Amino acid sequence: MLHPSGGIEAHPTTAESTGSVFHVHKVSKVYRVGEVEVHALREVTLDLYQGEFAVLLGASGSGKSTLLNILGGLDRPTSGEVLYRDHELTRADDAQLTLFRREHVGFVFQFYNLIPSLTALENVALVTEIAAHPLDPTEALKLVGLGHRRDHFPSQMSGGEQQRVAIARAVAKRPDVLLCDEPTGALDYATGKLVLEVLQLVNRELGTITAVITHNAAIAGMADRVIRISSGAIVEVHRNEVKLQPSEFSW
Amino acid sequence: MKPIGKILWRDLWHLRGQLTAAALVVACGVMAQVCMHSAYISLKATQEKYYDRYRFAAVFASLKRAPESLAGVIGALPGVAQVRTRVIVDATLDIPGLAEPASGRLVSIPERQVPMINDIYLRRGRYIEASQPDGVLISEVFAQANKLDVGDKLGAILNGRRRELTVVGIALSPEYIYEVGPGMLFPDNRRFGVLWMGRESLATAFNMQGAFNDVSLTLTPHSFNKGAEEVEVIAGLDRLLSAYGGLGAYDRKDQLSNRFLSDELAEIRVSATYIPAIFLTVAVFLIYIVLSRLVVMQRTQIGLLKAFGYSSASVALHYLKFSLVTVLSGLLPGLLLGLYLGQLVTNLYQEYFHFPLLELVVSPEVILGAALVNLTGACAGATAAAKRVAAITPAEAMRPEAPTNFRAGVFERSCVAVWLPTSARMILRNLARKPWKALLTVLGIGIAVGLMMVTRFMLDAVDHMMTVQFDLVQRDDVTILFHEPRAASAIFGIRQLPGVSRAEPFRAVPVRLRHEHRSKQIALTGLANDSELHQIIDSQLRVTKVPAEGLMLTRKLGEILGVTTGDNLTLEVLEGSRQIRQVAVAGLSDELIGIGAYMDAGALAQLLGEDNLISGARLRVDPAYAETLFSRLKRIPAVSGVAIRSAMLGSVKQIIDRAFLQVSLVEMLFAAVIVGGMVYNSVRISLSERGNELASLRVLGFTQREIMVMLMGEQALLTLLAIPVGMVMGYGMSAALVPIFDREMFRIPLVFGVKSFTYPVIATLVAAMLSALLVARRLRHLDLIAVLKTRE
Repeated sequence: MLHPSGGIEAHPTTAESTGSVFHVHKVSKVYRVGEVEVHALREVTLDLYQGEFAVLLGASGSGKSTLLNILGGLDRPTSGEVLYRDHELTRADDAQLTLFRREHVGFVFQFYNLIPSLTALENVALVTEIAAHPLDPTEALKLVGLGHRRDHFPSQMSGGEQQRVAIARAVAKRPDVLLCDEPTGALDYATGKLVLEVLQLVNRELGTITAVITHNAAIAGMADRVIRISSGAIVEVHRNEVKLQPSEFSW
Repeated sequence: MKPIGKILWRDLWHLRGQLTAAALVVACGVMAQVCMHSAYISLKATQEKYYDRYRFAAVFASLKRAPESLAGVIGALPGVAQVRTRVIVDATLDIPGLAEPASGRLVSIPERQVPMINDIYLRRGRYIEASQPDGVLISEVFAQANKLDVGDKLGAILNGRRRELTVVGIALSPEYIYEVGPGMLFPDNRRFGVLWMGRESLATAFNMQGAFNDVSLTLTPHSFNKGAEEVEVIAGLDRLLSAYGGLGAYDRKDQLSNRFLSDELAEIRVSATYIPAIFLTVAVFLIYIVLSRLVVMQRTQIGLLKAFGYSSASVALHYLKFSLVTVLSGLLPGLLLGLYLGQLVTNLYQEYFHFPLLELVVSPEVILGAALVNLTGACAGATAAAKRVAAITPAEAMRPEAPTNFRAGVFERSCVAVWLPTSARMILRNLARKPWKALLTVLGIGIAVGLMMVTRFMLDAVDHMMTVQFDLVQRDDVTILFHEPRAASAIFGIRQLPGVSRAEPFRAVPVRLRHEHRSKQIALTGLANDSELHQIIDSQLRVTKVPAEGLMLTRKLGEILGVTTGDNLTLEVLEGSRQIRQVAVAGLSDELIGIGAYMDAGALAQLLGEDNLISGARLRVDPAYAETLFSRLKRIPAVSGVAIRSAMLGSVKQIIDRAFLQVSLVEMLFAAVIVGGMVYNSVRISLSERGNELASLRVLGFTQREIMVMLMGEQALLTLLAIPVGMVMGYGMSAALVPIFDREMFRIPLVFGVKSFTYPVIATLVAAMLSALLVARRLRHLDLIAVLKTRE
């Protein structure tokens, strides 16, 4: 169904997606860069559902990162409305957004952004210390297959390992949503796959809504839904009937 | 402008906060250096010129009475150039509008103005005239303090007779640049002044016609060995005067006014060196850490410039320019403010040291010196940082830096670490990663804490010195001195005076103490066994008694003579029949002001072979009757001097409030600039190094406050650590000052009041917090979105 604004509204059909957790309604974002106005998002409407694995696919500059930032409470739309359950993120102030990120959102960055002065375990513990019902940091590391690397510092780990620590750190607080910005962007092929497997595992085991943004179309195969973004608008929403394992696709 | 020049200006703008902090420290150092050096050379030059132009004597001596004919004999001593004989007496003055009696030193001058040794500078009015025997010149400060002017009259008791003197002129003399009464430490210009009176009228009043009781000499300028010659002249003079009640000749260094001035000069010289040195060291360190960080951040740019063909030297020069700009921008305001402050200090000096004209000398050497020292220092700091530039090769510089290596330190392996929250571990590891930087920061802030402590210590020490002296040693409300020793029965009359609840007589006699080649002239005081109003204390501040036999010396006098308890020394009485005896040192006392020697009153009488004469009395006075007592004392002919405790303490307090407090406030402020500069730069650099890390944490849901703690925690820990370190340094610096102030006039004890600790702590914490807050504002503007995409 083509939306009048050009966006596409998608509804869940599978049994495990029980309800809308994020509701994005006619969200636009305009940046001013000097004299020029950049329309990063144009009246985007989107819902994210409980437990789903969504891939937001788009070229660089398509607006997918802006959307992810707005979902994660890092940025505010110029117009439109974003609801997280019953919280209206668009009306929240900085302190409320911080609290929202703290309680509900897990972030995975392209460059991992681990704290260099902390060990793998401590990087995870840093977040669990401020969370209400966290996983045990050791369990979180085991989940990403790095139980044995708990006392290593970031400088002693490979990129893939660092990213898996970052995932452990993101999921350890049991977030409602895991937002990943090009999580394999800085990794080589084999390591990238390993990281994707971990993301899939976390999604399956913990039921966390996982939104991965990427320009790598191959990754789309592992998603429940693929949301394709171009020039600030959702141009296509595709539902995979069969989710692939990362080992089953290649790029 | 060349492109590399543009980079310089843009980076300078970018780093303006941190470089300003360093420039401020430079400015403070330059300010201190220029101010103190200028004050020093101004004071020194003025002193020399004044001494020279007004023929300040080289050797001085007082005696009982000698015929004028002796002057010729003195003049014939080898090495003596000129001789001036005088009549000098102390007298009680009655100043209109002043309840208490004042003391005046009356110095004879020729009836007709001629150039002479210890000449006077006439500020206002006219010189005295033979036709007006009651005309006097009075010292300028005394006139100012008592609002006296030409034409005013004042009462004086001259040899038991009250006279009305008329002020005909206001004058100054190189002999009384620092004008204090006998035995006083701080000037009290209301109650002590110098008066110059015609020789004839003064001599007539004191039956000194054709005689003198004071002589001063200048020495021949062509002597090869001045020191030795001076000693010869002093010895010769002593020989000549011994038959005339000579009290011992002395040179300039024992002349009271000159001594105070020289001590002050020595003191500023010390401060003018070590205070700017501290600031310079801190500034160099700040410039070094700012530039080191800049070089790290601009690795890529450095590589690029080198790849384009810029030489290592020209790129290093580029970084050197940062420090030059920083120093130059601190230098100019520092110089200007230093000169301004120098002017203020010079004005302040003018209140205590009285010259015809004291002007700030703006010396090019001082200015160039300050500029040169600071530029050199800054270049040293910058060179150390720029050295790294040379080590960077273009190819290597293009690659991102490897993640910083961290290890768990020794402390962390200990069991305590288990209980530490993760954020605390971050703080500890960041410190452990750069132990040198942490150490230098602690030392830098510490030295500021130390500086503040020294400043407070000086105030506390003076306070303590006064408390000890006036609560434990000199406990009388009023001390009166007689012209001549009087019979012990005189005390009964004193006890009858209004308001006197206790009166203790004392005997003081001029003596010369000798031990081996050392000797010292001093007033030997006889103390009664039951003396309450003047006590002797030991180093534990316990009151001790004068032993029945032998001498008790103040510890400082013992040092000067090189004697201690049990030693024998030669005592030469400089009065009456001038006995010479061997006396044992029976004990040492620990007064902090002046030097002195004590003996049991009975033993002294026996030594002098006299029948209990008294030189004066110490009184305890009921304040309600003070005014009545004072007006009576003004008219008692036998009294030559009156010292009043409350007036003395009042004038001391005024001096401390005016001079000491102002100076210490400025010094505190300067030290706070160091703390501020250190903390600000440290935090800015941490923010620059860890900005990405902190922004990531904000994304992960940490609040502003939480990341602020993580950023500032490191600095807070260093600052807190610096406080005890600084206190140790402050203690050390204070202890180093104690020997500098270990003088005959006074000694400062190594004691600290509570404020010596609380003030530096509070000032340090406030300065640290304010500068940290300046950086904290920046945390609000962390770019959370950029951090998702950037790689450190």
